[in-house]
Amino acid sequence: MSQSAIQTLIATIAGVVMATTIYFLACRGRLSFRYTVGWLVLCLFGITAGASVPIAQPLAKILKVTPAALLSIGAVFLLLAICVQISISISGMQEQIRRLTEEAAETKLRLQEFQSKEI
Amino acid sequence: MLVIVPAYNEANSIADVLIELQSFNFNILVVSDGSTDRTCEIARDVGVRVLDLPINLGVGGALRAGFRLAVKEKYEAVVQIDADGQHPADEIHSLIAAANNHQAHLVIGSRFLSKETSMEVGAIRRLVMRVLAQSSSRATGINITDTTSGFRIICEPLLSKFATSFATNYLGDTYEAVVAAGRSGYKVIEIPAALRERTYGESTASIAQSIRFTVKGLVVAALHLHQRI
Repeated sequence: MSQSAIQTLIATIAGVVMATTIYFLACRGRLSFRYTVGWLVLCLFGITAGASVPIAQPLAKILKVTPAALLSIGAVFLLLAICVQISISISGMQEQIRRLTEEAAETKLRLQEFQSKEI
Repeated sequence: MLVIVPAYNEANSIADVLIELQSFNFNILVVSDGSTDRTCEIARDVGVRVLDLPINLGVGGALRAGFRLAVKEKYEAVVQIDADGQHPADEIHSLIAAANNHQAHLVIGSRFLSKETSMEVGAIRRLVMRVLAQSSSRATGINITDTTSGFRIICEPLLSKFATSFATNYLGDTYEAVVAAGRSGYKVIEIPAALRERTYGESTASIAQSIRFTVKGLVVAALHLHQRI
């Protein structure tokens, strides 16, 4: 088996395993639809990565890097971008939790004061 | 003026602190930061209002919740004081007087300016405080000696700004708040304020944490990443 065939096979197996895992996580409600779609698209990229080496060759030649290095750099930056997006989401959610906590505490205080006035 | 007492599991000391504050007829609000002991119950028993946060948000988070309530209830100024009995309540009048006399938006009670301070600060912690003090002095344009003091008065319009934008991480409520206020043009001053040893418990931050958060705080200040107010 040629080196590129082995690369394609490894990438395909890894991609299928990841896609299956994501599918089951989504089925059990552990991943929202938005993230499921996002990660499945990435798995698809992973599956086709091995086969993409010849496609990346012309650009790699222009940039004077190997196709594998070009794909790796692309993958790293894509994952970084996703991590940044997730970090933004988490930061926003932290602020939402904070606001919700403040509101809950304030509502509880007002209710207690109202109840003590009633008594 | 409202006195805000952020408290996290301070059941052993909170009653004494609140009774001392009540003797001066201050309006008091305890913000329980997700306490799991009897802090809320004790505070209510002595007749103080309690804002009981269901989860722990950190001192900054508790303070912001208190600031929000103060702004909603049209208070013009807020005094923050620790629940561990370190701050003598009679010093609050000095904070109020300083804010009025100097038209200051933020007045910090400095333990290092006071000759009556009885608490001891370790060498590393003192060094950390000095580094932070120098950094906040540059931001405010005045000589700050105790940027991490949790004894301060915040007046409008800065209070409204802090009610919406207030760093909630460790040192965010003290050092970063001073830097943010100074850089936004608010008047920050410092006055001597005697501090006592903690009545109960220990400081929540270890030396390693102090250094880590100091480095983080300095990076935040250097890169202007603090809350915009």
